[in-house]
Amino acid sequence: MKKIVRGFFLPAFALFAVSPVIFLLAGTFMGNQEIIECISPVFMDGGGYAGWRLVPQYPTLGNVVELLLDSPEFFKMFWNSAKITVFILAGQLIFGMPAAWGMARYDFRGKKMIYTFYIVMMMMPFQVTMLSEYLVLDRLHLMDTSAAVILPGIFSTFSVFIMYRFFRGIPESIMDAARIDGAGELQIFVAVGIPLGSSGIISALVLSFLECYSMIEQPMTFLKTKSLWPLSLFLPEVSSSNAGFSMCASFAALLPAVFVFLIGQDYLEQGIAASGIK
Amino acid sequence: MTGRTKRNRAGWLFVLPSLTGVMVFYLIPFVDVCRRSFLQAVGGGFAGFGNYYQVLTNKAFRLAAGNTLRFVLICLPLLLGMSLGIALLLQGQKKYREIFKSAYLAPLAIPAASVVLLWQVLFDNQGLLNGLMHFFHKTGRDWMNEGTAFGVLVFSYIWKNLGYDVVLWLSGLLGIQESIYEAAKVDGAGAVKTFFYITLPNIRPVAFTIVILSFLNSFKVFREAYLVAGNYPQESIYLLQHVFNNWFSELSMDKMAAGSVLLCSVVAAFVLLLQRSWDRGDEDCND
Amino acid sequence: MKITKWFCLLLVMALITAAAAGCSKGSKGKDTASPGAQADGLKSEGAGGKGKGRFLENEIALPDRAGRILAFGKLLDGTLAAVAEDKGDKSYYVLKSSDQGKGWKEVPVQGIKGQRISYAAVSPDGDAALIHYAKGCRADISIVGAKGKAETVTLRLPDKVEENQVRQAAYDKKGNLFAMDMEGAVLKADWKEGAFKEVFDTEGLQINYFGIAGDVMLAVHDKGIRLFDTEKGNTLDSEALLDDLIKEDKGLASNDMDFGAPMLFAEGTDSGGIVLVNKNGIFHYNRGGSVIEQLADASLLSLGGGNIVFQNLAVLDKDNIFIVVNDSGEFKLFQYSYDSKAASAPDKEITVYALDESSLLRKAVTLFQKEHPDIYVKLEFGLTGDDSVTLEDALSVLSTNILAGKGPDVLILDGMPAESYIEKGILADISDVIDEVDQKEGVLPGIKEGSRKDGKIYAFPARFLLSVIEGDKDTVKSGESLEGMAKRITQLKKGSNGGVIPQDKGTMTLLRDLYYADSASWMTEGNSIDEKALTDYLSCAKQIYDVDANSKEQDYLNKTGDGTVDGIKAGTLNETDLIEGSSKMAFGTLPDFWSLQNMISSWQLTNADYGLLNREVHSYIPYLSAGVTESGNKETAKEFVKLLLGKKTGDSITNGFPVNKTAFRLQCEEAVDSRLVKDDSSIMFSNEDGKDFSFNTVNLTKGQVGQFTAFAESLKKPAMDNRSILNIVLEQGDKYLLGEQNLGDTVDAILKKVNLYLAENS
Repeated sequence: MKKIVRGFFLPAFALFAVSPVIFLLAGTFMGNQEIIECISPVFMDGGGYAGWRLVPQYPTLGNVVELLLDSPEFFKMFWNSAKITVFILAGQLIFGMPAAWGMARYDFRGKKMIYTFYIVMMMMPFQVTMLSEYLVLDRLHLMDTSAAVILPGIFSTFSVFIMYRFFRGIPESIMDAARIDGAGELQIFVAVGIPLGSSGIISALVLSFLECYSMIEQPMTFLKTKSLWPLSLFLPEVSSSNAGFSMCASFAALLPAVFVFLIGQDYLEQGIAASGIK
Repeated sequence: MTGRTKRNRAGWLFVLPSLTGVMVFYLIPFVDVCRRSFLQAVGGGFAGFGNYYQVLTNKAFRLAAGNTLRFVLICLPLLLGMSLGIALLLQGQKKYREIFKSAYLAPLAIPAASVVLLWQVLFDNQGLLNGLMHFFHKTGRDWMNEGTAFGVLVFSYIWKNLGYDVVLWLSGLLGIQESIYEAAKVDGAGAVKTFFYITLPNIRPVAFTIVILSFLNSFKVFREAYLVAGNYPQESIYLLQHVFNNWFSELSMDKMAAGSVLLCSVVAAFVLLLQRSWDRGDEDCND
Repeated sequence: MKITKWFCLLLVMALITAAAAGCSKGSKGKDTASPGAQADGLKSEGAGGKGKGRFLENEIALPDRAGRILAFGKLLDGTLAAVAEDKGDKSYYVLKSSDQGKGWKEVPVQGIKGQRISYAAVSPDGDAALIHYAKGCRADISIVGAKGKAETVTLRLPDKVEENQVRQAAYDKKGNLFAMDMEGAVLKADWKEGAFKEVFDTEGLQINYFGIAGDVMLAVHDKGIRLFDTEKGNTLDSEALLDDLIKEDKGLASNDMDFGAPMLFAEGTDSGGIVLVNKNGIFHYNRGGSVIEQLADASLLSLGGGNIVFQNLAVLDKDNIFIVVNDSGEFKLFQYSYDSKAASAPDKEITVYALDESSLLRKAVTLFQKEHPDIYVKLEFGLTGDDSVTLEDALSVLSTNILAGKGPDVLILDGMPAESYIEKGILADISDVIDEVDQKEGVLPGIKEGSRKDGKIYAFPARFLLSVIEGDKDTVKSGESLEGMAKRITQLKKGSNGGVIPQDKGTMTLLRDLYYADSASWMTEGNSIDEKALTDYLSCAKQIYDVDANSKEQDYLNKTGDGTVDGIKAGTLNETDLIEGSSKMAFGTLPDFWSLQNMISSWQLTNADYGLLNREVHSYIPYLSAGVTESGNKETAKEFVKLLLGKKTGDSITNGFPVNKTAFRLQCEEAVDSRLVKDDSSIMFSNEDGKDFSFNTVNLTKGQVGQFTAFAESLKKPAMDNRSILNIVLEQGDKYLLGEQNLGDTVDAILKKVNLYLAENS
């Protein structure tokens, strides 16, 4: 009985989760003409209903290649995305990681309060802090620079929360052993904390990456110069004139996220598992 | 104990840079927002609770608050239940477990903009779904422009977050030692009893994290809602984020300030409540 | 204290990294800014800088009888030469000036009497080539020597199409003559073989227009600019910066003008230097260089005026540049000379913001600049049309700027949520300005009252448009309400054997036209939309649409409705179907006196009449509705509004009717004794079956002008001009018209969305 339930539900849900992904990936390999054929009813007032093929009829990477080589605006946005993401992730490593370590491994006065404050901060939807962020960015004259998106992103408390949980899982005994060997606190952090918490750090980075990569509200609010916009704002504004191109752009935008995810997935799970055992 | 205090001071130092940033970018300006929430938009005179009154009686805000609450109340239990169920099924399934996990996690990697594209193709009046219904001789509908839009949003949320929650639950479940289950079996406990007396208490700590993260992610569906339907979507998916966004672009700073403070209080209260209730169980459950 | 030390070190390093990152970001942002943005950057730098030295403008008087300037250039000896057409008898002259345009020597062209010249070019030796209007694949070219004697030679053109003709002509500095044909091919005159030949390898690209800088041919196509050596014919290295100009602004590649071009080129005085001029200003570029340097900002000069079409450019020396432009039909020659003592830029600055590009606004800025040389006017447009910035994006950027205290001083409120701005105290009361203009030159009283809010005026339109109905007497009479018109159309359909009844419109245009005629009466006291009014509007639209539903063409407006502005300025009333006889009535927006005159002129063929559509409502469509922000430089901003409302800006006969009474009256007088008629202007077109139609433009009678003035004076209610609301109505209404959604659901959806929108602000 249980086997049947399992045999049915698990694959069914897997299909439910995966099929849209396959669907999107299929689009990446379709030629312009094929895409237009499929979606014309939705975007171009064609008759009938949209169709789709899970296996492209004439698989090609032509669209992606053309996009990468021949459309400066896409390229520009892609690099903006890369820049924003890299700076935020680096910043989170520099600022967030020690903070997570500090909170996870030390008992100091106010720690609990700070931790709760971090969680509350993390929970706030962007719209709540939008006005405050705006006020400070404006005062620092950072509006309409990439820094307006990057700096607040660095201090997002989400990655601290994730890393905290992993650092927490490292046994105190290892740290004590290191202390007996005469290691300083910073050394312990570098030599013990970082390596042992690496899967947590990586999973925090992967999650942050996915978050930054589809960041929409922040750049939309704080960046007015279009040449600074990241790829996530390359809205699939599909109209009849550019349907193929726009579709293709949103497919291509998907690829980096999928790659990062595939590379980081193992760590993500490992890390999660590790923290579970704790 | 001087060694210990000194060490703990190091803890402070670890936290300090990050905390400074958070203060500068979030906390201090938020205090300013609180101050502004009591001021008039024009002229800047003291308005008392006038702005709050205005916000709370605002039709748009009420609608959005109701929708958001409804969304959270429906989605959170649904997601938690579904993911726990799948995790339980996976717990006993060793074969193909990794493959299933990967499959469930995959949606996490899809950026909002691409999701939106998919939704458009799927749920458009002439989209795939209606095509399918037409095939079965049923009349289709304009999914994004009727009450069904809410359903689409719920679907979108579950789809995207299911995998991560499953993996989180599973890590909790796999952390329970096999021996406990065996002992229970020897004592003659049934599956239901085992679940309530062994499984549940043991995954309590993980549950806190999962609830927090799922709640957090429930705010992010706004991206999809916004990209698909713009500033003024179908009524049922008009969320608080829409109101704030629109207020911002219409320069209603007074309302926005008051609204931010309100929403912030509610979220903070929710988190504290959650933490309190978990704290009551065991001493170190906030992780 | 080891930990602390380590930690401090780490912290310092972190901060340095972060700071460095921040800096590099800042500078990178500027480096990588697009050329368009660079131009902006230069502009604002120019405005802010206190340096000395600037190109000053000076209009050079041409001989009185010179009308059209067909060609202009610099000869090898530094003489300026032009080919001009006489205003009166349409004969041709070669004009020469060896003192920078102070005096002109006129040499009449002999031997081509009565022939029409379409294009001309001046060779570096002073010869002029006049290209006749010719049928068939040939070009008749009259070469005019120093004495004015014309010798005509015929050159063959490529005969890929039946009626190939020359479209543009110019000499290079070696004296080779170049031309373009209808197919977008650049041709070189081969006198020996008697043909215009394709010598450049354009790889199949369609060239839109070309320019010549010395011995470099610059061929502009949709994606960039190709460079060729005019003598050898080989392709030169492409210049990425020049290509970027086109990529940034596709308008610079357009060739929709018969004469002139969006951009002109000439050889600079330095080797490899190219001077170019476009609507943004005069620029200098060195081939292979890394920057396009702005020599002068168009908005400080007459070049920024909206109706300017560039004709010819000549660089006399480093400090003297000459440009011929066509300013609304009048040809002007400007000299730009560098004055090293003049302040490089005005020290004061105001910003004027509008959602949509407007040539009239550009003109107003130019006029203002002339009157106030010490004030720099920065003109910003929220929606540039080319990119995917939506209305919401634009408005939110504007809000952000206003909030930061960096908002504009003058807001052109067309399409904006003006009500909400007023409520939030963003706009200042400008009734003093309106009163002043009213006392001096008068404004239409109905519109003045219609703009009043609680005794104050926060936004006032400089111009307006009308919704009209055109057809036979009974039809016009039926247009007093939308219901009446819908009924009439249905009735006409019944009585006819097939055929299209109303002027053919797509769903969006139809909805929008009716919206502008009707929306003035939709708003209820309770700040929401009246359900009955909306229902009536939609059912009328549906009724009208369904009459000819199966003969509809695809609507050119895009689905999101952001493209809604284009049609407004140009007007949507189109009488061609009526003239062809394919439809029985027309309705839409009447944009300006020019259109009014054409409409009435067309009655020679149709015997039609016209009247205000939905005249129970007395509504008008405000255009260039100006407001002054509370936070800006109010005094200067008010000065600008005064000028925008003034007689001078008002005298344009296109782009709306002036609200200024004096300007309105002057245009009425002009319509009675019209320049168009003196120019013998006629309208010609042919229908799908190839049948030709034509009629001459006629003067209006006093009665017709009186009737129109009465219409204008009866207007008192502005149509709802909030584009967010309009977009919602269009989006939902479209579905209803196409039968995808029923009336009840449509009304419901619109009301919910619009009322939500309105509720946010209550």
